[in-house]
Amino acid sequence: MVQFENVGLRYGTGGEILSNLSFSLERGSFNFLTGPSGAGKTSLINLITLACRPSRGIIRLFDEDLADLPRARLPDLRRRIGVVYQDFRLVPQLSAFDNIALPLRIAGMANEEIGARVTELLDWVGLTSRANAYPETLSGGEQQRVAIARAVITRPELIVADEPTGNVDPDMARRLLRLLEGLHRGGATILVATHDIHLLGRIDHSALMRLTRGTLDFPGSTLHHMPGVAVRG
Amino acid sequence: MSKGTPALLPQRRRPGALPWLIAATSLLMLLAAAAALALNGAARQLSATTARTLLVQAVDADRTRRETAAEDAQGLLLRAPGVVSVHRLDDREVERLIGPYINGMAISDLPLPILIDVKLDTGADPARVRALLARIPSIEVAPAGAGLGPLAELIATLRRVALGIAALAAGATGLVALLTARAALAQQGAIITILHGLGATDRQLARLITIRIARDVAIGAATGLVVAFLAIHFIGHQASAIGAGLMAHGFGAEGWLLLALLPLGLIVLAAGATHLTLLASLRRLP
Repeated sequence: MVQFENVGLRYGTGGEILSNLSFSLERGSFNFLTGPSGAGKTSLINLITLACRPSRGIIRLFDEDLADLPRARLPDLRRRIGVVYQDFRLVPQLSAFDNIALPLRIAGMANEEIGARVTELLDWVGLTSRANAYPETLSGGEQQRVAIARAVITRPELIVADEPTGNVDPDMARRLLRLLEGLHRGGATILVATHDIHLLGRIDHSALMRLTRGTLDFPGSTLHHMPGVAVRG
Repeated sequence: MSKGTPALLPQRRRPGALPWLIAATSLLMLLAAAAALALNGAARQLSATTARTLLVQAVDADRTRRETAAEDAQGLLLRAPGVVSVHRLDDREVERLIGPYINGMAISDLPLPILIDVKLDTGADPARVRALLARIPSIEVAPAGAGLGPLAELIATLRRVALGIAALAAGATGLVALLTARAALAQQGAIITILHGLGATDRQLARLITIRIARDVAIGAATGLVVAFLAIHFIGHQASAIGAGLMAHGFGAEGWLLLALLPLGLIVLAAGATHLTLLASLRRLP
């Protein structure tokens, strides 16, 4: 699903933010990405979600080598990835309904079908009564659920969540994890970036990647087992 | 919940200053274009008049011979093919024509040439008429508009200036739209990034902003068109009322149609410039 080979990333002429990253995420796997603040988790997520290009190395996504891929095909790949951003990135001028509908509208789906799908998702995240609310009137947890609904509405093959529990209380964090677990059972590949160590043991057969100062902590190994957690580097 | 039309980007409730700017530039463009059209009509009318009108002069200093030459010329002209009318100016007409320049002198005291206005048919050849009259001594033939050359040149220059102003105004409109597109891109940068991350293509994003700018341009162009039409109609009315010669005839239905189509061209120009600018800027995204 996702394969990195000796990938490095630098912004402008600065030093490398990420160095020599080599790992793969298997189709249908549940993966955690952890590490201290500033380790490069968000930069790695930006690479996986095609928000930036690597300075060196090879990235394969959905069996496509990004180096060979024309830029015009990147939107198709992005539509196969659902992203929950740390700061949610909801469009402030759009209601919860319209925010969730965005990926479908971008994909050119008919309005009638969009209505049915969004209504279903609003029900799934428990926000039916807040469909017309704008982001500024939603609580942090509600915004997060809108962001999750938007990330999964196209039933993406890969779901990436950047610090999804960073802005919510422990109860909401547990509910969110259950949501992601449900999507995983539905066949999606999940990558959750978090520095919340308590999350790691909650998903059985999950894999762990740990970043420190832009490099993976377990170089050369493919899988590390921890209680309830598979660790890979 | 908006279930009608897809709303990728939020629609602004107030259009801002762009329509007013476009209204001003399109008004300027339409007035300049109208002036160019009117001058074009004037130039055509002048050209048609001078091409089909000849001024025949009997210039012999001797009154009797002058009179004979004029009568001979009139006779020939009346039988010549392509001649529509032959009109000899009588003394009162000549006096009215040159009176202001001879300071009250009696024209009978002056050896003035006898003037004959000749109007030709549309297809008639003035050269043939000249050749016909060349047989009569002391007869000179000149195009009626021989002295109007500088006026024709002035009209042509003014027409070029008016066209230049119209082109500049159209260019300014395109530039305003282009700058607005860049500003919109900068202003909506965060939202563009979100849509881009969700898989929106460059064309989708460019189209969103282009449609909004084209709508503002359309509002401005329509406003400019209405004001311009009112102004042109008013000026035309005034010109007709005073019988402003060449300018009193306006520019006909085709002219009005062309003026009405110009704002459409303006919208296409602005939308095209905006779309291309946006595409070029969006290509810099990863």
